[in-house]
Amino acid sequence: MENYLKLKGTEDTPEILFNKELNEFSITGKSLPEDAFVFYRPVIEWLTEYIKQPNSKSELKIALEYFNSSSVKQLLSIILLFEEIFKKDNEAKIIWCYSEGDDLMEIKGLEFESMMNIPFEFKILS
Amino acid sequence: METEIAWRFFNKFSYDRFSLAYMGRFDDELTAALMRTNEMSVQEPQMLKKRLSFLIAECFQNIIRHEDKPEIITRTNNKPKVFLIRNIGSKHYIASSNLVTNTKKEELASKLKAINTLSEEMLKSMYMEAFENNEISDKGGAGLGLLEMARKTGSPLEYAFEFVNYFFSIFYFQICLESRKNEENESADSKEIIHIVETKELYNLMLSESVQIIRKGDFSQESILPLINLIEGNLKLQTNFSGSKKKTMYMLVELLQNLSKHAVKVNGEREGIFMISIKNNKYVLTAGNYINTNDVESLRKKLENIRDLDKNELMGIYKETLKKEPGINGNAGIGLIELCKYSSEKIRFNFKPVSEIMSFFSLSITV
Repeated sequence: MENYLKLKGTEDTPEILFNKELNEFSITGKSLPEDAFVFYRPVIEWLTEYIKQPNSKSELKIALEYFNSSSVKQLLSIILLFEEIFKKDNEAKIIWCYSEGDDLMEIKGLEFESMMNIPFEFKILS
Repeated sequence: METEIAWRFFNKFSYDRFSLAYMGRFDDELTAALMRTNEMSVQEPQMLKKRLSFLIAECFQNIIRHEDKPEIITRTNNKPKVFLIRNIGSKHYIASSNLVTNTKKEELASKLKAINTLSEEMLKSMYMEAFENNEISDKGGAGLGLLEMARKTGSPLEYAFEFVNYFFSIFYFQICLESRKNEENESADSKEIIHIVETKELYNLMLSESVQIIRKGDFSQESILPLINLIEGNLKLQTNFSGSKKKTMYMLVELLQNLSKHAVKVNGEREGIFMISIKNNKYVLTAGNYINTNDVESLRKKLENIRDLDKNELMGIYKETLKKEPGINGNAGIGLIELCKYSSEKIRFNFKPVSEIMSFFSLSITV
């Protein structure tokens, strides 16, 4: 497994920056791919490997302008993987970022938080 | 009902490969978004595409620059501008409408009449003359716009006026760019011919049903992205938008991608229609497409099951479905649930049998 995963953002897919060494994990931009399952597969595969030997503290930053409903399922799977880290007594948390006034992204973050057992931190981007 | 109106427009555009009707807010920035929407859908050689883009930009900017605005908007003179692009076979139509003062109307009519009598050579020399004499009005455009359109299309400029009141008339304008010229003795395919009277009808139907945007054509992912940008740009211009712009975008993307996924492929394209209209001061988004008649019952059941649930029950089903394993296409199956969740009124849907194997399905959600 590579120590990092980097996918450039496009018109309909987000930028993915996962780096074990730098301890950075972020998903940024827009996520509306036609087939979210196919797009996020490498992401999920990389993370599945990573959680076998995670850093002592892993924070996933999600800053999406918007995403479609098929991305929702994939994001949930990703958050579940971070929850695994948390369950194994390593530090893990989700940093959910959204623009001021973006009630939809706020609601989506709260929905995820209510379904998961991992700490969420909400951050408003000005 | 919006679902019925979607079918009516779908029918009116039945021979169109692509149609876009826009009665929303107008702005020069939107020209770029509009052109992109068109570019994705036009399958013509580069030269024609460029010419078409130019004509679209020219027409669009004309109605922004040259419309006359009443000082006070009343019920009678409340005639919004409209912009129309249609592709039928080898013909590309660009049409528009805007208010003009009745004094300007006379001047405009004689100008257009004169241009339509000119031959290609005369058009060229008039154009050069006007250009050299720097005939620039205070509204810019050098008065060359109409001449240029006549030259670039090689077809008569169609126009019509509709009386509104003592001060104003609606000015309808239509040009046609053809990708291949018919020989003199070759009869044009009548399906491809649209006269300005049809454009008037479309305008009046859009007006009476408060329709803001219609797009008919292919709804593959590449085609819908420019449309999403167009609507996002339009939303940004709205200052008194009461609902949530984000929720609107979310539902919009959902509806369009549903069309992408489920519209039956006809001649390699996922044909459908998408409409935004206004009802009781709220936006209604409607999507329509063909589906196999065999699939009607299961879809109807699915929709009937979720339509009448309240917000809490919907949230329950949402969470339950999310936790399940993904379906065959990795579909979460939550798309329709999300639409119900965020629709401020109950979703409405309609199935219309079209043939033994096909039906037309339309779905409306309210922002």
